[in-house]
Amino acid sequence: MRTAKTPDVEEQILALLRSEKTFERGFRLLMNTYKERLYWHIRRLVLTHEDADDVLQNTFIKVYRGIEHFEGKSRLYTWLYRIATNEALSFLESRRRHYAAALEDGEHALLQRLQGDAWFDAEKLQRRLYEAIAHLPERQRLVFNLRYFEEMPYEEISQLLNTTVGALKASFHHAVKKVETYIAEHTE
Amino acid sequence: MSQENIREELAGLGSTLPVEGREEGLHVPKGYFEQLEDRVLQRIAAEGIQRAPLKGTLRLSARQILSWAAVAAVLIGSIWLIRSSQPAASPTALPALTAEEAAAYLQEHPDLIRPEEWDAALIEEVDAAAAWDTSVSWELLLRDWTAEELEQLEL
Repeated sequence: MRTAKTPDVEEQILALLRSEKTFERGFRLLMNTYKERLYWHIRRLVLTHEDADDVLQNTFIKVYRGIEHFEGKSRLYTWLYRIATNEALSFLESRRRHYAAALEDGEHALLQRLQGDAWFDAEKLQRRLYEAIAHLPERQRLVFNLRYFEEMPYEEISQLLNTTVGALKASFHHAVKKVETYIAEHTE
Repeated sequence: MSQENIREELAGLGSTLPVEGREEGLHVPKGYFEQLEDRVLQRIAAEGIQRAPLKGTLRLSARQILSWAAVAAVLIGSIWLIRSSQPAASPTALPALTAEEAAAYLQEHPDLIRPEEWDAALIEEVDAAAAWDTSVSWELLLRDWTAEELEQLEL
């Protein structure tokens, strides 16, 4: 089970960030606390390590630039997830435009990048699973990942993506069917 | 949401997707996470990335505080001087007269104005007219001149 970091840690981070003297310590603590969760969230969206590393660094730089805009209306980690999600989706959108300009199939290109990633080394079933995920539309992939891998409750996903719980459940169920169909069709 | 719930949800959908081992296959280079904070901070420094000051952390140096105090003192002094130089309104002040009423009153009481004040008033009248209509100013200047005086001007 994956749990959100306790509010105590968030409070400690925010207290450090409020003072110029302790800002860097607070920012380091923020990165240290959330880097792995955000990395895997991003990685499952963009799929390759190199891209995930770029997006994660850009996410932390956005946070560094904009931390004064955090008003505490939501949990800190929800705010960080939103930034990371937007960064990842923007990255995928720019990649898609690039592939479209080069008259390439975006989904096929993403699959090729996954298969060529030195940090992707899966057994047959997991390989098919990630290939299937690569074929999902981005928003559906996002919902699938948050629910299937991160086991985020629908209410939290709803707050994160500003989507109704009903729509999220429907999206997840469609994604599960698509993934299973792909695996079945690509397994000897 | 517990792992049991995702299992239950998948089972409810009739899905055979695995829960155990689902995360296997994606890896990261050794030491990647340990070095991440340093790499981000190095990039921030190298690219000169700035952040806006945090809310509620405005800090002024002693020199800035003195400067602002000096500016405030000058402003307060100026306001006090301006106010003290303005005549106080008298409760017995006469009701305001129009320009026509004042002129009519002075024409009826020419003894109230000394001759040099009439000259000054005439010059002011000429200057005021000249500011917007030069033909009027010439008429005002010339209307009382004799023919001989005009010839001497060689206009």
